Amino acid sequence: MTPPHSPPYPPPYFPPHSPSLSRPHFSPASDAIRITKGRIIDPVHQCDGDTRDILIHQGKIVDALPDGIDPTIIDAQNRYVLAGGIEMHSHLASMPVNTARSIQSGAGYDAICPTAPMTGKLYGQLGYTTAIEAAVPPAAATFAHMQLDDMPNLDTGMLVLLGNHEAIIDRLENNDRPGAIALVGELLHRAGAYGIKAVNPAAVAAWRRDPSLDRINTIDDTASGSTVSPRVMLELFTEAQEHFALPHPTHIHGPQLGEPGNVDITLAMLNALAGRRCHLAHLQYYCYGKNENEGYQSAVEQILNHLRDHPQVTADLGLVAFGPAFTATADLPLEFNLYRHIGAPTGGTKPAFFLENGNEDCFGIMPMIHAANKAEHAMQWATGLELALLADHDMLWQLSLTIDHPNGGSFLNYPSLIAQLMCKSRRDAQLADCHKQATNHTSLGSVDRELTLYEIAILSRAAPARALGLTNAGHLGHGAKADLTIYDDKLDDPESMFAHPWCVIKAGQPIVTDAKEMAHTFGQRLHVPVMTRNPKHDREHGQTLLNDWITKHSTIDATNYGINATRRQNLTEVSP
Amino acid sequence: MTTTDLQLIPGLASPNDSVDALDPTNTTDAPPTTNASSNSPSIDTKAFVTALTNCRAPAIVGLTDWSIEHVGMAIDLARKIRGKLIPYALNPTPSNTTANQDWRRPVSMQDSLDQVANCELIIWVGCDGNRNSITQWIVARQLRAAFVKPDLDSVLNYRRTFGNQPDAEPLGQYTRIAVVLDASVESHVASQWHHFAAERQNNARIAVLTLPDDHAANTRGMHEIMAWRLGATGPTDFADGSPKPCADLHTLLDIGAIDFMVFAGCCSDHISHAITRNIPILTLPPSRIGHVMRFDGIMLPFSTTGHLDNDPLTVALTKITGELS
Repeated sequence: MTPPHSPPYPPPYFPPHSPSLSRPHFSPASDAIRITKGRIIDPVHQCDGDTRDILIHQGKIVDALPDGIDPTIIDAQNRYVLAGGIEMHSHLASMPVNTARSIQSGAGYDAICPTAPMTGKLYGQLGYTTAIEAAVPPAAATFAHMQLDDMPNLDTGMLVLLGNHEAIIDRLENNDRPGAIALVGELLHRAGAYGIKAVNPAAVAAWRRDPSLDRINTIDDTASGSTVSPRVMLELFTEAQEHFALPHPTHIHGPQLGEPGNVDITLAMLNALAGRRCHLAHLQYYCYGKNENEGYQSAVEQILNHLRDHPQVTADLGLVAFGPAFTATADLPLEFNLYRHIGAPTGGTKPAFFLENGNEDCFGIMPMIHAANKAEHAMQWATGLELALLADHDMLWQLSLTIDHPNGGSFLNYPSLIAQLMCKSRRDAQLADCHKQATNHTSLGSVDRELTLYEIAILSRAAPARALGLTNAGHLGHGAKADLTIYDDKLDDPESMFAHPWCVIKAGQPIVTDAKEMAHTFGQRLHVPVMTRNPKHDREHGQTLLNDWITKHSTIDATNYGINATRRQNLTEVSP
Repeated sequence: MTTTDLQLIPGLASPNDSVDALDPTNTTDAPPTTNASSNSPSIDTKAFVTALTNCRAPAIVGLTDWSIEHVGMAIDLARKIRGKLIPYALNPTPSNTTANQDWRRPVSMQDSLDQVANCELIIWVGCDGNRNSITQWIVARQLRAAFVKPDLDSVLNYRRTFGNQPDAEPLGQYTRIAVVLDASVESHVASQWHHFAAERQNNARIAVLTLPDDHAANTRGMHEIMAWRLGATGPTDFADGSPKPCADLHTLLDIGAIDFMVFAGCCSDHISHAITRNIPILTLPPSRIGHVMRFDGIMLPFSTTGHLDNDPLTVALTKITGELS
């Protein structure tokens, strides 16, 4: 894989075809490995460059090997050893992404959305070993699981879209809160999901009922005749996450994404959930005040102040890279506005797709190009970096590095974005090419801080593992999964360093050696067995409610909703 | 599993379908054709391996009757034999097979049956409720209907009228409207309906559903797995190991680019062109195991009995792929 070029835009640097995959049944590698003399970067264990050996046996990191075991030796002298990267918010395996796959080449766009096999391989080559699909309607769970089945090198999981699910809204409108919570659990269970995703909660449903409501102004807005507001939905999900002891809190795509002045409604939403766990998706898009011309003004400091005071709140950055991207979202009013302002005026060079699903979440997709000379894109790029650079060292533990692939651009941009976080001169050079709003209305130009490798490890490994509740990932301690990435010492060229890991090990099996892909393996499908998390939970109630609702409102039989028993047997439970 | 769900997928093979007997005179030098019905306990994999080993330009043709999982296995096989994967046996490729996901349209406001069932008004374009099981299902749930001719003038008239007066009758009073297009509606007319729906999004939730034709079967499911495995959904050639687009079946036959065919469909009429050209053909019948996808993207199990791993078609494909060097 060739490293990305300098601006204007990196070319697509993966072949436009899909590789063949053999399909070994997943099993942890039984071979033993000793990684010697590596410089360990493990923020969970406060290890910043100590030189020590790492032992791997049967897919796990161990303190000692059993007698008689002769391990493979990997000499990591002068190299850095980190846990495998964790992508905690990406669009990998949903209907919109697959639609993007089928239209992108025919529409003349760079292949931003690789095939499922290639997605896994490319993530593996970048040193990532875990990825979460960020948005799947529960009825489409099997479809998403099938795509994830074909994605090698990654432990995967999915978040299901519940924020505008009509069955839940129906219960709330009937003042049946216990029923609504039961439905949340049942929908998570049927989908074999990892967590709750709420996209512009209640607002998309309100728009479905009243097309003039394409923008909410407060978190208490509702459609006419409805009692369900964003606040009501979020409070319900917060209660549900506690009821089911979910390891990852409600993953929130808030209202007014990307709008000038949206910091107010973002803080209102956070204050409504004050004291409780929540996770803000692609936080960068919510860090905007208004400048003197009613345009964008970075409000990162206000958001960071809230995070500082509320350590239980986590977020992923949602960085933006210049170049081609695909917007793919269940926030249909947002996507439709994007189409009106960007797609429609092009007269068809940016084909847009919208799918109305009726009772569950809908989606829209549209290709676009993030251009440095466009004010909005320049602000998004700059503000995303500001978020990480202005956060206190402790606050980095609340932030995860993401690009919201493919919305912010391809995940292949991570090396260059990391380089910009680690190197002031790199980002200053980019800032000089940007629309002047990024200089005038953010503080990025005056930020001298350069993140260290340790801090990058927090953002890309330790913090996402913590936010997701993955106790055996994101670190290199005893008992952790043997997911590791070994980098050459090229801190003077972090982009090249992160673009070409010297060695990547997935579940104890080397998949990249000498910076070349040598093999692939298949990871686990992570899910939370919600029905066993709370011994007092009555599954039958949720089951009955959902089946009745499906029978009344859906076009399929209730027995066909969700994954089947065979697939459920192959899910991996994530324990608390 | 109720039959109702699958009844909304026209053209799916029934459990007892087997391929029509093929004309035994179509070849003298190639291995004999073999019909294997899905009821038979095993498929003659040896004949396949021998034929695939000895041919130079094989093709796997007609996958719309297969489950998503089996299409995936066909992709693996086509890659292994460095042959061609021709999803549709029929020619020309029915335009509506891709109608709901046509990237050539500037905008697509695609509907789902769930949404259609919740609409206040259905605008039928070029069809009425008597067309097939899907239209009858919609009719049983519709509240109101309007009927419009499937020509360009009609839709342009709609755009003009409601562009100037969004609240004009008969649409102005409704919030949820579905436009249901017959399978035969031309793509440029369909595109105009999508534009119409996009223009009215601030006044009503309008979306467009193109009905599948009677042979659609699992076309949508086949598309989806080809998209996520290969990044492309049309005829594909694996001659150099990686998937590349190639011509449709009839063109390939005309230029002599196929010398052996594995036929995965149910109706030999669809490959009459190959039969008349004396191309050796072996057939692999569809199975009822796995998942299929309805034309609007809803995934459904093909059957609740049986296991994919034990299914004769799965066993045969795995064995054939494994024995090929």
